[in-house]
Amino acid sequence: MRLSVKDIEKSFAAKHVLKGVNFEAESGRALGLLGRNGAGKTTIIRIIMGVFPPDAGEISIDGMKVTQSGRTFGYLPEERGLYPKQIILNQIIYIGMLRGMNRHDAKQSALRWLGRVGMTEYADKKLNTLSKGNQQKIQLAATLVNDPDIIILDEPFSGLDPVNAQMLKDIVGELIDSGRIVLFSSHQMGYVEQFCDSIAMLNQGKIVLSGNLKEIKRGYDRSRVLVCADVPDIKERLSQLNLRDIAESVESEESGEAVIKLKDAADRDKLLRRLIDSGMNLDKYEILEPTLEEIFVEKAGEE
Amino acid sequence: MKQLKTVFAYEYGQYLKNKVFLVFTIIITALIILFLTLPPLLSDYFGGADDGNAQAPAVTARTKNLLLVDKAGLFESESEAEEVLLSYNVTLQSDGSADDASIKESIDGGQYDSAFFINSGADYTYMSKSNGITTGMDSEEIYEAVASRYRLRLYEEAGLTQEQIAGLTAAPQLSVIETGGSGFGDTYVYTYVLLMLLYISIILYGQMVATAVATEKSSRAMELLITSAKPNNLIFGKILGTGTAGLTQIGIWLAAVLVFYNINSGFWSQYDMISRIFNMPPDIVIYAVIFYILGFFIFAAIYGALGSLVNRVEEINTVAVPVVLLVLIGFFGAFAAMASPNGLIVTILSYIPVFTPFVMFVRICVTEVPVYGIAISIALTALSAVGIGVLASKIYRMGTLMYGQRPSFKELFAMLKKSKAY
Repeated sequence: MRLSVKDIEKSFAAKHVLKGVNFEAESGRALGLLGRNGAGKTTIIRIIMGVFPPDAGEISIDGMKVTQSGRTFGYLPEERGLYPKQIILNQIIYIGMLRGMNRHDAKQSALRWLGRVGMTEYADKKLNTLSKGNQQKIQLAATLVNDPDIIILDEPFSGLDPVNAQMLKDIVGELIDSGRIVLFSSHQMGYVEQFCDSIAMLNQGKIVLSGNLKEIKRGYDRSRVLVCADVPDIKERLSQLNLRDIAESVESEESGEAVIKLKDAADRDKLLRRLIDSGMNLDKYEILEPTLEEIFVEKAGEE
Repeated sequence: MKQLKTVFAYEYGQYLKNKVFLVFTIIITALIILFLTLPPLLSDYFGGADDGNAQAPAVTARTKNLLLVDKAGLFESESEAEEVLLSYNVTLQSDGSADDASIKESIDGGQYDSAFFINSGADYTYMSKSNGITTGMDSEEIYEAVASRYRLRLYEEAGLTQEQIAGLTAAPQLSVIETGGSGFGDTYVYTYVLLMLLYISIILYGQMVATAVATEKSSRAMELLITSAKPNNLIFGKILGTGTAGLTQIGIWLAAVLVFYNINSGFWSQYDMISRIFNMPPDIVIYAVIFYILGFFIFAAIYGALGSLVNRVEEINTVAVPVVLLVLIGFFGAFAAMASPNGLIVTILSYIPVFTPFVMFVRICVTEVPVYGIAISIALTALSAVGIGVLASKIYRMGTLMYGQRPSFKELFAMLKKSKAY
């Protein structure tokens, strides 16, 4: 299964929100949809789910229009989306039925998912009597009640404690393994790095970066090297090696650790050889890749 | 269709589970039963027994003290006077010994509420404390009683038989027959009652639709709903659910009214006003139901659209002002139609969808409207209701984008135009 988003344009009144958005998502993979507040993430999600049409461009699943493909969606909105004052089980059954299930199946599935997130005992309670984290788990059960093919999670980890976050991670992991498409929108880059093989980064209505996360990182500057060794003053020790010909700078913030910036990334082996030759007993030699957070700030940071 | 049914069933079910809705239904039902049962019970208790006449109208207590100074000897005794002066404790004074000044004093002192002097058969004086509007009513009442007593005396003195006297004193019966529709007198009461019901329920249930939509928006529940169902189904399901809940409620109330009216019909049927309401022609009942449903739908659709415009439930009252004005125009148009059902403005109003439920309904009640005219107005209103409903669902869909500032009508129109293609 392959979800393609092609050349999507959308404006509301005078505001041009999406200016030609392209990306693809594959089953068995999670795609991280990144972007600052107001970048257009929620708009593109709603267009994918057919809440409103794009001005131009198209969404397709395996080459078919979404409605023809018969694929189902599960959506976890950032701004939660259930009735606060109504009974939890009834609401989840209702959502399941709206998505085409019959009452019996919807009830079975609702109970199953409530059990999976450990909320069975709250099935007959009103939603607003629960803590925020527990409400979030109820929302997840509502999202997954129809066993959707394509799952869109908008900031799923907000409000979850580490134990619940782990449970969500496990569930998302299972969904990915079972061949669903998972679209994951978040500001929490740590989670995105854990789940997502590929990313699509939106900034001001355009995709500024997309593709396989590893490849993206590899494409970044590989001239920074982290060196760790069990020596008292690593900076002093390194300066004795006289690395000026290949290194631009040497910095050390913690004892036993230094970051060497090479003039040319191709000199990595040369540096390693010299370090070995110096007999300083290396603990670690690592090419420093930028974190997703750094990439995000770089790509989406400027106004 | 299946989705619409799901939304409808859920929304309707929510009303039936809603405590406020249930309590309101029960309280009004209890009030209806109380109102229809208590007066007959009380009259059996206090009025019916002593004169042996079960048909007696509600008893009036003798609350006022009257000094009757009868110089002409029209009344033999105080009890004879009280027979015709039902709400008075009569003190009869036939010798005229007391002077005006002392009587005035006893009125000021509160011993009597008023005094009536029968100076001669055809010359009376009424004395009471100035008592606003009731002074005139009281003096009229006593005058009537005394004057007819005097007339009776004259007839007797002229040697007429009881039958002749009865013939002379009986009030002639006037029956009015109007051509071109049912008579105004008969129709006025039930038309008025139905109009009030229509007006109250449209505002009441329309507000419920607006509140339901606005709650969905402010709680963000629509975020999930709108990605799980078609907005048309969500809006129409909600309108139908609320409408059916409203009909259920009204149905319960009407059933209570009918059952308890019939149980006590012996008592109530003597009141012309009330028995007229229950004797309305069946075709009027059918029209009332049709126009109730149409009126509810068109206004529920408008209210639904308004509900999607606001961000918080409290804002509904502000945006609902134009709707209330529309309802009021319809309401007053309907009053105008009672007075002149075939006037130009009234006729035009009766074909404008938002006013049809009020104005056309009244016209049907009080005059003869051609069948094709009724059909056209019903069709127009039904089409508009669906049209406004579709519009409401578009606004609802766009409502997801419009948290924060409420859009101006210009912006709204621009967006609606854009969304046409969808």
